[in-house]
Amino acid sequence: MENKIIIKYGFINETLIIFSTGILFLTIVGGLIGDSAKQLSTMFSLGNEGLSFSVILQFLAVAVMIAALKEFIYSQKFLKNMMALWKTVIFLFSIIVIITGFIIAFGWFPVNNVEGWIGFFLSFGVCFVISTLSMVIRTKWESRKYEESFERYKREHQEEKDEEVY
Amino acid sequence: MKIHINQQVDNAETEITISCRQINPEIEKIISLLRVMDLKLTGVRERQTYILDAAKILYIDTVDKKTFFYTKMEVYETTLKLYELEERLNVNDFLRANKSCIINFNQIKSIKADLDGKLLVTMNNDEKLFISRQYATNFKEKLGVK
Repeated sequence: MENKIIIKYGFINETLIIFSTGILFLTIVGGLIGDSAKQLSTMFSLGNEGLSFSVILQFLAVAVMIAALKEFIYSQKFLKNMMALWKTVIFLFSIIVIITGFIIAFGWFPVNNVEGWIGFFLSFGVCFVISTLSMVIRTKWESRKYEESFERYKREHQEEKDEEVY
Repeated sequence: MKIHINQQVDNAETEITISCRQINPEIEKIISLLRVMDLKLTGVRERQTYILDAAKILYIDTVDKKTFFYTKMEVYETTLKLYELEERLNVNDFLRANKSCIINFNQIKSIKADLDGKLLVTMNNDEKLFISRQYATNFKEKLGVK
């Protein structure tokens, strides 16, 4: 029961992080180029004013799909002996496919607009590099924390054993 | 199956006697369960039955509905299910690592964080095992980092 709650909480947590990051990014971009992109992109249909409800809901759907995908790819069920690097590559590729689907379906920008695609891949690349770097740094920091705690545990455990012998 | 319980105040040690026509898988399972209570595990390797101290076991896992336990060098098969072992060995520092594996915490060499909240442990025989995010909490609590 407790474990199920952890999984559900983890999924909701993940969805909200992706959603809020996406909306924050879009708000900044919209604030900068919203008016000029108004005619080209449905995402900035309100120009510098903000984001429409439909765009917010579209981003929520993207966040739910990416969080579910992450849950599945990094779960024990999906190719459990696969290297984390390959899982990340599959994850990355799947995200591109999902977002491309949304770009085409909701007209986030015209499909034949080269600048739009360059902008998409650039912003996606930057976001991915930043999130990957932060994940690697966080993992290293956590590893150090666990190693220190484990060494402390072993020391204390050994001292207890020594006391028992004494 | 008849169960006789002979309760006497002057009994120094609890003694269990099994009377049967021959040892069948059911009896073997009862014996295994009794041994686990004594922190000993009964395992079969190369058609020979061995009794081992639970402390010497590195981890226990299930493959194709069969349960195996691993020492530094050997692999043994047991008739017990993973959940039966988990229930009894929990007090002896055995923790669930994922849906198919229980790890002896005292046989861990090192612990590292892995992507997506998982943990990667190296056992004393240098084998690496994953602890899923679902069960990582128990390990973190044990380390006092949660």
